[in-house]
Amino acid sequence: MKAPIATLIAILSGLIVLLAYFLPIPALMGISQLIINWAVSLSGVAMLVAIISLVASHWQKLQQKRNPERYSILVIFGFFLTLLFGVVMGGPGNPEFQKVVTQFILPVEAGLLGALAAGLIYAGMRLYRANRGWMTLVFGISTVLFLLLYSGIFTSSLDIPIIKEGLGILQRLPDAGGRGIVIGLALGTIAAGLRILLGVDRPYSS
Amino acid sequence: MNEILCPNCGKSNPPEMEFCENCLSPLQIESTSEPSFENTQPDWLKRVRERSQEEKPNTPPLGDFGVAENRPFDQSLTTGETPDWLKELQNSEPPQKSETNEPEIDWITRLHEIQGDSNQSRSQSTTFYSDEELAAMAAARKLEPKANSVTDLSSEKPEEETNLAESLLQGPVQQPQDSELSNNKINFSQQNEIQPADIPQSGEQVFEKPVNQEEESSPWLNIIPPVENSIDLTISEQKNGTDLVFSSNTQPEEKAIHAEVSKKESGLPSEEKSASPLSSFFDLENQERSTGGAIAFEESLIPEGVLQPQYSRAAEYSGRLEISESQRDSITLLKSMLVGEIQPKLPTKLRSKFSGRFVRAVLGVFLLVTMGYPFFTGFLLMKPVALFSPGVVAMRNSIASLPENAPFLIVSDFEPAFSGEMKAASMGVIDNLMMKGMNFTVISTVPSGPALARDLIKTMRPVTFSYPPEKVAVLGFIPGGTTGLQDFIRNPRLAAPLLDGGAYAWTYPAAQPVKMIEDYVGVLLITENAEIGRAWIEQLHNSLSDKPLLMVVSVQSAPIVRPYLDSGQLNGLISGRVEGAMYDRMMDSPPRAAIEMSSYQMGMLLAVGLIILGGLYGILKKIFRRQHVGSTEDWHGG
Repeated sequence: MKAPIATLIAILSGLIVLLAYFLPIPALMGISQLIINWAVSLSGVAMLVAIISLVASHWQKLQQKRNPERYSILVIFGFFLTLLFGVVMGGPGNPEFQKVVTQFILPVEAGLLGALAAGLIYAGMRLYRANRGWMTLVFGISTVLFLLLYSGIFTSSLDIPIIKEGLGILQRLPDAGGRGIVIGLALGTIAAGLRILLGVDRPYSS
Repeated sequence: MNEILCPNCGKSNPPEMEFCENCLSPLQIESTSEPSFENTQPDWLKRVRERSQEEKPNTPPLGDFGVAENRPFDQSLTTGETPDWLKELQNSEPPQKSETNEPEIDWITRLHEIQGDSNQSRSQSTTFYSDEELAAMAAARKLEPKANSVTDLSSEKPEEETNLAESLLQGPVQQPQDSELSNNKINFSQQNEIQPADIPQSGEQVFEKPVNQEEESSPWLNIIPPVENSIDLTISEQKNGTDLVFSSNTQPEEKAIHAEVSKKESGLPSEEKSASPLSSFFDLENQERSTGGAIAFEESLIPEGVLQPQYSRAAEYSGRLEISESQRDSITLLKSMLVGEIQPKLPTKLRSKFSGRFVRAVLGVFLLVTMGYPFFTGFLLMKPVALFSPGVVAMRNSIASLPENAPFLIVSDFEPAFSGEMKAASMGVIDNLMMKGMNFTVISTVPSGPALARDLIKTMRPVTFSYPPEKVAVLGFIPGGTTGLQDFIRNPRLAAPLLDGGAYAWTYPAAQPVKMIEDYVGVLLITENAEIGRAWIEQLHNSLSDKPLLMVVSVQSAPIVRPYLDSGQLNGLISGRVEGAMYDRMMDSPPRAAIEMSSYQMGMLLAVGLIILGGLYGILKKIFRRQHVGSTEDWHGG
């Protein structure tokens, strides 16, 4: 077996945390809590490593002799500027520093979503030209129907029983699909957890 | 010929050179020996050379450096292109015919008949051969693999056959090349030595001497031939797998040849012996053996300088296929057809009068104008909502059942891009909680979550009516994703001990009464991510016991989260802006963002209309294109 010690530690950690869910033993719960605290602390360290790696990667792209990635300088510049502001202003709790999020990140991301919406509408217009067939037609009809449903126009002053029943049925259609997805996710999560607990999957040893 | 051939390597050198340009050997030997060889060569050998020049087969004409020319084989060079050596050959006298007509029954002809790879007819011969015939035959076979051309040898010697030659032909003639080497050496030397006058006459049994008379041969002959014979036979066996019986059969005849040669050598005076070609040849052979080895010895066996003027160069044929222009065109056409079959078909490019970028730009401008219209005019597209979803109703009932001034947990796990929708959807709920005077604890597993939560609370209540800051404790961001929220659920004070400003969180008024997760009277989760919502629901379900878990999600996550509402794991759900407006309507408060709602609805209706129009355009275009193709396509055309 490859990396047997690491595999043993992973299996034991998983079993302890899992057993702490079902067995209210104080000692077991204490160990489980300790393990989870370690994991959270390591996650914070991993985020620091990811930040350093991101900056180093963009620096390397900038240093390339052939086709240097000139936009990387914006990433590096933005990173160090934000870091400077955060250090000078006293951290993320400062209301002025939080404007970095509300006045820079938020408009940019919202603008990207707006552009995505325009692109999706354009794609919807050309949908039947690119792909012809019954499934395309069904997809187009369902898209139009649920856009109308979630726009709220049917909920405005239409207190008609048949409309209410119809809206209820239509809203159940995506719920049925969502439930299926949730069940699939649960089964997949159980399978993945069992594979790690049994040592079949060892993502930590790769 | 104005060139001097090197006696060592056979390369031609200018006459003024004293040493060979190739191997730096002295050329004096060659310059002296070659004329002597020319002078001493027998007449029959001269005639052999002359006949070989006459009977030389048509070879492809070669230009400079042996490159084949395009002219036909039989077409002669122009006068200006004729080299000097060829002019000399052409101007030379025609070969003199022999005085007798006996060579018409030429033994060389029969030699070709016997040889397996000869171009002559393969009629079986029962005649015998003299030692001169055998010598010439061996020399011819020696030259065959190198020059790839057989030069016909002629001799004035009448047909004389012996039993010994017959037996020799059955052996060495069919013997592989390596094993013939010793025979060739001896016979060729013998050929050079024996003058036409010395050719034995008919009936002379030259090889009838017993083998044991080998002792009478010259001492130099006792040294060389047996050694060479043994070496060559060994090589022959290894390379060609020749039968051992075959080798043993050939040995007596070869010994007999050596004996005959030695007999003739012994008859010469000592001076002639030393000056004879045979003697000089074996002297050279001894030298080569001492310096070179078997291969060098073989090369010196028939010096290239001697053979070069006698034998023509090997015929060289062009390796290029002669094809005509029409064939070349056919090949090109076939190639293009094959390439066209291999390459995949490119998708048919839809040509349009307007580029996609232009259409998208026009579409974006149209959307902006349509959605901005309510902001400029105050236009309301729809009346307030009159229907309410079950999640909104459950949310309203859950919040109504909460006690006042109790600790309440808000999880702000949405990205900045969805801030507009999340704000509009959660405003009514948070306002309702504020009216109850809840002590909020804000946590997030997204780095930008705490800042967005502060912005949300600030937007809810402007400065004048701001919510008391001591009632809001923003704990900041907990790393680790699902593990982090599990850690927080198990022990909030240990997982997030500080506020986002750096102060200790759990002495802050809003969070002071909280020791564990069950101390919160309720949890409100605001997220657009279905995965995060699912994780919170699953981790909190057993920990909150009877405390309400409420969610505000985006429309895209609602289908995934709504099953938890149906199963009772969620106690209230608001999805999107429309249900947020429903909650406001249930609170009997005026529409919080009626203009935004109108703009949103107009944008949605415009999107629906564009998609329908685009689909109809595609269908109509398809129909008209089909009619156009059907009317113009020539089904009967070739």
